[in-house]
Amino acid sequence: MTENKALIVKSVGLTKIFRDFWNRPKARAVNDIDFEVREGEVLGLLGPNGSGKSTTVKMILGLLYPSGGALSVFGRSPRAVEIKKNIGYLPEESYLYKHLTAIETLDFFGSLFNLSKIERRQRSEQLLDMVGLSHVRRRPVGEFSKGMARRIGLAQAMINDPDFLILDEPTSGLDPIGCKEVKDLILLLKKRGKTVLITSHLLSDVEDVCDRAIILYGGKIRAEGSLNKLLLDTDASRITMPLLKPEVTAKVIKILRENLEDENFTIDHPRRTLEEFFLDVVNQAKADSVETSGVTSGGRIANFLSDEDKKSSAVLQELLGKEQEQPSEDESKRKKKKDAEEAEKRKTEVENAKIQELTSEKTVEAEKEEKPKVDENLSDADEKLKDLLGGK
Amino acid sequence: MKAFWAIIKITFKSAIRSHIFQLLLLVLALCVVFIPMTISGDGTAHGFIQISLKYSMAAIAFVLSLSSVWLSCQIMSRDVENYQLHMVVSKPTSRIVVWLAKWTGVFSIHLALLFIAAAVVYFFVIWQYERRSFSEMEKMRIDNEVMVGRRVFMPVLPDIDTLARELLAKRKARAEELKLDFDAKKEFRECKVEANARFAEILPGQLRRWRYENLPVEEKRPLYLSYRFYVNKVDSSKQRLTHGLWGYGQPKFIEEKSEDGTATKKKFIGFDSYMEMQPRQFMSGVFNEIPYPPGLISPDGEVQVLFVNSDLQKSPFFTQAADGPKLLLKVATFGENYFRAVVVLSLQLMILAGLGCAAAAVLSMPTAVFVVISYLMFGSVATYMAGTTYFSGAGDYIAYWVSKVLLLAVIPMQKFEITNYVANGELIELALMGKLFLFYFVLRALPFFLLGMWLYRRRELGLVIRK
Repeated sequence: MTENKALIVKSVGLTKIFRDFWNRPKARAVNDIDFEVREGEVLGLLGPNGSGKSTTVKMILGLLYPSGGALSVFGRSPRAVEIKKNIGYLPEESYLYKHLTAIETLDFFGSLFNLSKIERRQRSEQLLDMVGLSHVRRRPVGEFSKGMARRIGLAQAMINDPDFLILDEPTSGLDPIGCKEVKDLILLLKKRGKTVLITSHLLSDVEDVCDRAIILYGGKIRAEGSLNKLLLDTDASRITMPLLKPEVTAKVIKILRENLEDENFTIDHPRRTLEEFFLDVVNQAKADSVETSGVTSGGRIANFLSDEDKKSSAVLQELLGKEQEQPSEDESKRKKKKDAEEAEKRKTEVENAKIQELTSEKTVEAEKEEKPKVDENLSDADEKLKDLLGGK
Repeated sequence: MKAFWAIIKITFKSAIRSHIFQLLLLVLALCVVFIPMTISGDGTAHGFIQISLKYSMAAIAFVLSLSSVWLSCQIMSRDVENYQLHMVVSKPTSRIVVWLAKWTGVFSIHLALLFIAAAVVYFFVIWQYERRSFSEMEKMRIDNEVMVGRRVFMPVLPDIDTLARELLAKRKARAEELKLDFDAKKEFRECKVEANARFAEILPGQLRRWRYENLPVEEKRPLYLSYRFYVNKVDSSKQRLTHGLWGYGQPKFIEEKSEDGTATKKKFIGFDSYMEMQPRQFMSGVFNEIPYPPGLISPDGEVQVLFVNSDLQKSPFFTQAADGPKLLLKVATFGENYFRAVVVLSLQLMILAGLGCAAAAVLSMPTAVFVVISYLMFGSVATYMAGTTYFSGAGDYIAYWVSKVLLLAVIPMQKFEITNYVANGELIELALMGKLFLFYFVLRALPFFLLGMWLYRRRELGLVIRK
């Protein structure tokens, strides 16, 4: 199915050699790599420092030119100006004009996309609201903290509602709420059919949002594939269930001992991630209306990035069209009912998708975390069980 | 176009935040305000106005030129070095547009400053002219010699090559007579130097006649003769008061009857020479002017001027070809001439900003500034070296030819020096402006701009190490 989707980036034998003043090869940053980025997928480009991630991204953006191989973006050379209409780019650091205010920054980048003044203003306001910087719109970005700079960087990357978003370390410098918002945003963009390329050192962030990952080392691709394929440990099983009574637990252990013979196994309480816990605490604080002087959590997706904008236009069109012909009361009721049903349906779909997403992710995460330890024997398991059961 | 204007706007904002630019702006403000206020002049009213204009305009031109080069290099290279350009070129804006917008931005800000500064100087000079208690005579002199736009007519030059060949023939005959070795090329060069020197020198008691052509026949306004002679040698020091007797050729006509004998018409038959009764006293080494009455122009547009060296110490006078003597005729107002000067300065700033942008498109900030300054210095030096007529050895020849070749590519910025024109009330001709535009903007600067844009477009911006 993925194969049928349009190619956004295609790299064949891509190589980049950096040369010294005398044109002698100095370093082979990217070494003969083949990869593809297809429409609608979220791809993670991972690797340690110096692995060739940034060089690859710079080649995709046309800031560096390949020494060998072929690279196309939207079917054209990465240096073609036209393709950049569809690209949004968030660099790893803030390369913004420090003397410009947040609103001026977005206005400037909007101008580079030839957006009209009204459109620039609307989008800038919505994006500032989305990244939680509305209250500092008149402050120069040079005065921003790293997290705020990331947020404004992210906003400028989306000013053109890009089809292809390149995010270099999108969550670096952001607090957990910001990280979650960025991840939610990426998932939303994915839902809207956008293509996202992420490079990050924060592997858990990549794991949360990526469909596929490419791991680079020494300029070469060392692993590539969907996260499920790469991370699923098919040699172990995990069952998550409500808290068991001690006697049931004992039975389970007995069954496991009988079936696993000398193999190790673990039974413990599931543990929340720190991020989940942190978000709960903050959400509780918000509910209690605790004041903060920092970034106000945005999270409200800009209209032009969500479907709301289109929907409101459609409603407007509908209203305008019906000015002359007012609907009857029955028709209005039917319409309301239909709308409510559709809204309910959408809500259910979103919730299902979320449950499915959370379930599959948690399974993978739990499997990874709870990989059987070789040195753990059955007596250890018994001890742990006793602890869990309150020392009985 | 939105992207173009947005980059221009951001260039303005970046420029205003540059500390060097702020410093130069302060210097400019000081030049504009303090120079005209502190100048005392040479003691004469017209000298005061002349020097006010000259110094103020020269200071404005210098400060804005320096600022144009500096700012253009800084604006171009800083964006690359800070990676801000990564953000710009990853948007659908071509690098050519970025280059043009930055150049336009730098030039526009300097153009605005030039207009403001020039306007301040202009109104200050007018104010001084009105405010000061100059006599009517002094005011008239200022009106006729400084605050005016006068067309310049240069004397018809003798054919130096012909004169040199005549001298060469004499030398050759003498060498043959004495049976000496004769190096024709070397001798011809020496003869040329001698012919030039003879033309430049006016011996004591010698009568010199200058001829001017193509003057407007119907002109009824007075003509002004501007001259500068040096006593003993061309050197500004050790100059003194001296004397010279001036004269002119009065067109001579005869009455001629028509064929039917009913009407008569005037026929020009030549010039009668008239000399002044007494020698004039003048200062050597500086420009002096003499007004001539109208009616000296012959029907074919010719004027003749006569001069006799009457120095009491019997010293020779020397004159330079560029000093004329020039014949000046009022054709434009001071305001018009001043505006033309501002246009020429604008062209100069446009070229300098472009050169800075072209160099900084591929070089770092200090290297780009160094390259542009070197280029401009080559332009200045090459002009002098290419004009030399004296060769002492192989080094001189090499320098001469290198300069000749350099002049095909470099821009001698002294060609844009127009402050003397304005201060001396000489018209900046449209032909001169056109020549400057064609030869120095279109044929010299534009290829560099295009090269800069091409390199900028091809540059691997990702290779630059961030500062």
